[in-house]
Amino acid sequence: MRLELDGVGIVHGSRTVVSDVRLTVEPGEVVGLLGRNGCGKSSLLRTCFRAARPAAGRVLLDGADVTTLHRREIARRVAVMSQEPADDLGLTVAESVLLGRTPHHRGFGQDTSEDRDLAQAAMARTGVLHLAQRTMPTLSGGERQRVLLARALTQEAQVLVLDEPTNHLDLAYRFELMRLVAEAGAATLVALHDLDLAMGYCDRVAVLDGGGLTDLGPPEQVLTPALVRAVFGVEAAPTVHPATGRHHLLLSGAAEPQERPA
Amino acid sequence: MTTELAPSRTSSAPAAHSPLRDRRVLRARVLTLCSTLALVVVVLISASTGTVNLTPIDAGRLVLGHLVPGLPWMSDGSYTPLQDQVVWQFRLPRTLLAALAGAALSLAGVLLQAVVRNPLAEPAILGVSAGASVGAVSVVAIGALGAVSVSAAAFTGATVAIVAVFLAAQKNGRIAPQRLILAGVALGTFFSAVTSYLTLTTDAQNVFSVLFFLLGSVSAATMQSLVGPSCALVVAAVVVACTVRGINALSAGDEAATALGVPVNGLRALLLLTAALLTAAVVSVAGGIGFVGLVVPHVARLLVGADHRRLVPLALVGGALFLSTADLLARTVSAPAEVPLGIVTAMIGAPFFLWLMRGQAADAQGIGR
Repeated sequence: MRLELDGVGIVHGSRTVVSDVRLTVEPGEVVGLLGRNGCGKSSLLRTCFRAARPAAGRVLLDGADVTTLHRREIARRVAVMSQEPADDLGLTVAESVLLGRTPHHRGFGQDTSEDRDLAQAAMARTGVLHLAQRTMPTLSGGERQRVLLARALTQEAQVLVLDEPTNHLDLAYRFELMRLVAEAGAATLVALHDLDLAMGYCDRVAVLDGGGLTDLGPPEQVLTPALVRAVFGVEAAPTVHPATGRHHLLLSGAAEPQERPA
Repeated sequence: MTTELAPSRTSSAPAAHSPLRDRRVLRARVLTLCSTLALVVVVLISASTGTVNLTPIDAGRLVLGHLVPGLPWMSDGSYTPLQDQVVWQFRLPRTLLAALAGAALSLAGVLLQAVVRNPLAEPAILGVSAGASVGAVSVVAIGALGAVSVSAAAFTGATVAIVAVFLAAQKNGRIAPQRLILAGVALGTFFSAVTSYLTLTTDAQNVFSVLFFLLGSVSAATMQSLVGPSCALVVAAVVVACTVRGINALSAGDEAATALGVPVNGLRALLLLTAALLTAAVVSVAGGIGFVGLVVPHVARLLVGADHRRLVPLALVGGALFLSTADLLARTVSAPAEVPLGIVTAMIGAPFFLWLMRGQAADAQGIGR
């Protein structure tokens, strides 16, 4: 399934946060959404599953405008991992993952064995199977993120929308999670703060700055030292890993935030 | 870390070794069944206890005789008309009303706690009970008892309160949980002030009946007073049965629930109205019975977890059992005098809940935070 943002604009109160964002995420592609705090990343992601309506433009799923789809239909197509504070009422991890089946069922019925198989497979992949009977309030931040990813996988959607999925994660799980996301084969739009992670796992990156989408393309072409300095206010040195041949960014602070050259 | 998919089970395979198997599923069934049986026993004990003494079995036979036509003991002189009358016209309606009120209030509590995601939520925080009290107390205080029944006035008061709370809590058509709690508490305080003023300024002879209403009582129950709570429970049961997966999803957060295809705002409004209806139906016939709607949902959740497919049935039966037991105590501990029901529920409920709250299950439910 293809996710398409067609001229999307976001307005908070009277302030225009971003306008005219045009971006297509192809099936199986991972697109990273980069930008500083408050640049509108989360708001853009929220329009993808109609948690918010864009002030302008449209969000299309295989050409169908999300505002014309029923919520349940959207949820069957788009799975989301959002940044939301922890659960207050104590569902267990297994129950929380099984919530991913919500858009596929109605009414009072119990979960089917197919539901449980899907949930179990997803929990095994994200390494939370041993937590199955723990309740959500007892989890650490990183464990919680992995449970949320398992829920998103259980939802069996062809589009994944992830807002800072690597927050709170151990280093090892940070890479593991991005690998799992890439392997899931969905059209994936992921907001990231970690530029090096974006370099390693995104097929393309989209940079939001100054109220619009400024750059879009393969990370090693987009994330030049000049752009990183201008948008993020840090110094970057691109390098290639001697053993794996992958592109990386060496980052260091120090540079003063500057106006970006036009 | 393994990335292999877990070996898939065939659908007929037993789930005995699945890590997803939850022993609380079985526990919920057993507890719900046992509570139902206990409820029947308590209702029969209650129907047989009083100045005209009978055994619970006699009470059961009399009740059965009214439900099934043509049973021999109803016409062969086994029971006097007086015995028949106290069981069918006085004791049974009252114990059934206690059971219905308990079920309705604890379901309202379950819904409110899920909808506002706050463990402090209970039917009283909506301000509905306080509104009903204003209605009931004004009828008593103004002395309009002949013209309007206390129930009708209480229901009107409750309706006014619901509308007021909804108007105060909504903004751009969206009801935010925190604003709802604050609006409910504020309006509740306002209504209580009105009630207090009316109580203080009314004739001394009215004060006792006012207090009896405020503390809650089922002593005036007739078969007629069962109609309102029963209808409310049926409506609520249908609503919950149709939306239970969405209610579960709400506990994961508004945004997560939206992403799972749940129409969060619509569902929240629907469930709030349902809870308000349950509360209003009970308060208008039984007064302000406190504590049931707060404690029974928590106890049920500690016992069987937060999945509403298990929680709701147990909370319904548990609430019914708790309140009918409390009513049995309320009219026996200092017989022939009666203790208001609200006093009994708080006196047994609070210590029990405090004890339960200190256990490990409470920490797992997030109460310990």
